[in-house]
Amino acid sequence: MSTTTLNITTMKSTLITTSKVLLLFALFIILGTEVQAGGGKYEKKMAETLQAMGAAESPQALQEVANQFLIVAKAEKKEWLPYYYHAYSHIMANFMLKGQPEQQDLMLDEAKSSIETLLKMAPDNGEVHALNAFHLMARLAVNPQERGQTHSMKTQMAVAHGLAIDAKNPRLRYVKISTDFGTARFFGSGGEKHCAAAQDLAAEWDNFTPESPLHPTWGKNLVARMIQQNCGSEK
Amino acid sequence: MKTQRFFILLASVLFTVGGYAQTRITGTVTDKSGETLPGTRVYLEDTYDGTTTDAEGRFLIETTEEGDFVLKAEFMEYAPYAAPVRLNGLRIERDIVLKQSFSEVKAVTITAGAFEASDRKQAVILDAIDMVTTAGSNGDVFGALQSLPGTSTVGESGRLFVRGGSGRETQTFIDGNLVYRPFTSSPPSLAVRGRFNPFMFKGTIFSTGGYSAEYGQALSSVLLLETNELAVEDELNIGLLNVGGDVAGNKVWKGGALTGSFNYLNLGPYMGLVPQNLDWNQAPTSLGGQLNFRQKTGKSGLLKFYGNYNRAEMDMNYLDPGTGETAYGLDNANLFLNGAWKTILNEKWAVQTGGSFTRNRDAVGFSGNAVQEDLVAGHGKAVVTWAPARKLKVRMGGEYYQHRFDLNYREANDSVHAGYQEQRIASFAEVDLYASEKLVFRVGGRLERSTYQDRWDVSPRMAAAYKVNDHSQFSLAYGQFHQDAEEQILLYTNQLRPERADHYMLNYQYHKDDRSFRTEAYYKRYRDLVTFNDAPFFSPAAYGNDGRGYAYGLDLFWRDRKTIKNGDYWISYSFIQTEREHRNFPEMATPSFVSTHNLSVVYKHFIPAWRSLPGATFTYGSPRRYDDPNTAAFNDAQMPAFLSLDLNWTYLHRENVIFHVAVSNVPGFRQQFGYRYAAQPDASGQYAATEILPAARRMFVVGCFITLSHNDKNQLDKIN
Repeated sequence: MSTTTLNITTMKSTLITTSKVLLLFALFIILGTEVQAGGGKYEKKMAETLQAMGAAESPQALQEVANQFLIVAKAEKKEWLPYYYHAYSHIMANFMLKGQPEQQDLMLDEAKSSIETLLKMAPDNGEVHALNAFHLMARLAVNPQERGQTHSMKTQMAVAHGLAIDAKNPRLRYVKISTDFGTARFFGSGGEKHCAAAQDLAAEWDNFTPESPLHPTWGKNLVARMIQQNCGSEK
Repeated sequence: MKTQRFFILLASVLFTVGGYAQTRITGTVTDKSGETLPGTRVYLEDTYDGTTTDAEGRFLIETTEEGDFVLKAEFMEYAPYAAPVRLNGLRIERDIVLKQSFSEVKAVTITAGAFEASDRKQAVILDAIDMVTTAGSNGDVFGALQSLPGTSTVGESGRLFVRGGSGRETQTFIDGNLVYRPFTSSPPSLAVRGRFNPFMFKGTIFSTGGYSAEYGQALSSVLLLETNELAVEDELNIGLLNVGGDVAGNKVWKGGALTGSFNYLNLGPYMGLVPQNLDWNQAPTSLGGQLNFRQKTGKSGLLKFYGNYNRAEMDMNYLDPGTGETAYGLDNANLFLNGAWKTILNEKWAVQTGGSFTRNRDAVGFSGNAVQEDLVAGHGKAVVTWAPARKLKVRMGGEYYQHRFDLNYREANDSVHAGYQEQRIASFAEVDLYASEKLVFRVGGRLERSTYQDRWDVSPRMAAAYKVNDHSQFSLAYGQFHQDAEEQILLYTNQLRPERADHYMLNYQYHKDDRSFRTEAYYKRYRDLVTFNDAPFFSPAAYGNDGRGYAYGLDLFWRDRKTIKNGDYWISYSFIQTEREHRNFPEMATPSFVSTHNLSVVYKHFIPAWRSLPGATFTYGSPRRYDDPNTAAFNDAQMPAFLSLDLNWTYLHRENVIFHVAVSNVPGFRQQFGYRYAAQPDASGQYAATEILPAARRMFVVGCFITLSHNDKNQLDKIN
């Protein structure tokens, strides 16, 4: 923008006699394209990167995508979604690195740094708490023996915090049911009682419409898998 | 003319729009040693234009921006790179070198002396679950810590004996505040227990020497317990044991929580079933209540309050080999209050304050006489942490201690009272200076002023740690430690100096995935130990500071949660050589609370199909020495070696119902802790003796723990 302004000033000084209409016209073209690009550019860039995220098949590819989100995050200081997806990509990369606990923790550390930013930027956003809970659940999964107790508690706290703000949020509900299953499995007490909740969630999933095409939609397949794993054998 | 100008304008406009033409920036990102850094984020600040370096560390940014921008490169813990670039359509070649930045998270920490048990990734840990599921601990914090190296098992005491130090040389702090009476009271030669439930604590640091200047009045060791933060949900916990039970309720609100609990123990019915070595008139009973309050303050502050009142009674026939059996009754009342508040003021400053209050009364009655000891004590503390720079951290604080100790002795026609009051102020400061992420130095000291003894004492402390790589590190520590004589001596004199110990230690620690190894070599020098002479005990002249001593040894620790699936084991071994001249010792001798070799092996295995966690602990302590007055040599007699194999089984019946069974000394090894001798020789010139034995050969604990929360409110009727 500053370069454009500079050019216009130079133009003004050299072409004093130029028709003001023409100048305004030129200005309009230049500024117009800029402004239009500014608005659409963010959505376009995010949509592209989200598509790349969906296509990423390796932790490296996900990290590249995460880098793109973080670059956007730093340029668009008011948007929370770029940070959100930076963290989410790293959580996904963590799942791909299963069996390498130290690498997993590195990925989750990256996710955590963005989640901390998010919790400050948008403390009253249910999606942010859902992501935080999801991240804590992933942390637990890295080393259930050592982290079982502390992280299941932390996950439950994050879920409770989120549900208090956004009771219908499907991702919060997913993490909640998932931890409920986990506890039931650990204690060998039947998880059946949570199946109804899981099936309700699966049935209602599509009723929850995201605010924009860029807003989070993930989780439907995770719910399906959760049902398959925990409620498969019985009718 | 007009047309010409128009074309110039058009050209300018087109030129401006032509700014959309691309500039290409290429280069390679490496670290200082020339190693390429794949995965680095390289971008133009405040634009969307950026990329990630490839496997060779190369990057290519194509941008339609034009003019002056900032090129940035960021990778993990490296210091971010930022430099101006001018974009004008010309190709830019820019190689970037990233420097390691300093990260407090990854930086080395001083580990000499300390066993840390917290949720930190690197720590060698024993958390609350570990403590209660360690066979032989009987759910006692102090019992579980005896499975760590540096400790000697002293079956007739139950306290923590660390590296040649007596039981009183270990001090316990909760949330930074001194706990004057961390143990239950018990008759002579009968083991005590900790007063606190392991589940109260989220972190435990057990330091076997060389600890921070923040902690004073401990010659050998400190146990730092950090209480839990906020509870998650409303809960009711019920514990039923073969020797008693407890109930605890939790109420949670936004930013706060209150827990109340109530417990009752009565060993009577149990002792009626299981043979005991002691002759009880009234089996131990205890009744107690606790209150726990938490409230968040502001953004980062947390206020904690804990209160505990406990009353315990017992009566037994105590066998004195000289005078025969006498009834011995003990009545203990203990009130403990603890409060702490901490908050982060800003990036550089954090504040922590707190205080504890103890009121303890031990009333003992034997053969018609009565002794009552009363302690009223308080400790207040404020600590400030200041981090003026990333590589510099300063911790400083002030403390105030006050206690009043009274002893009343009554016999048929006479009574005696003695008492004293101590006021003590202390301050400490400690500087952590990081030379790099791998090397840290700590220098500090402590200044204490005792009004009762009218003394100033300075205790310098120093430590350094060097991190070899992500998994292993060395630490060194040196310090001077002071501790006053016990209250029962200070009653009669204010002329003593505190006892002093100097610690020198070298520690190596390795931690990878779920395996930890830790070893520590140490040398300790004791001086100014309190000595007794022939003057009457109530005369100040009876006490001196003429004692001395030394201790050196090696501790080894190995914990592995990886090799055996669902298995977790640790092995501790400590070797120690120590001698001292103190109290009534006529010469340098190894005190009776030290075993030269100590071994402890703990194993736990989770069996998912049975929802069970069985565990076993084997403990060996080489023979300890004691003095037999019937022989000429001092402290030359030997107890049998200490052997114990303890088993326990935890069964998770359902997510809110747990059963627990524990048996100590399953094989029934004969444990004997030396002899108690008559005060005077009999007619033949011999001192009569009686064996010191544990309360019973084996201890059985059976318990059921039930948690009721909102989620399973209706499960109350499901419990059998």
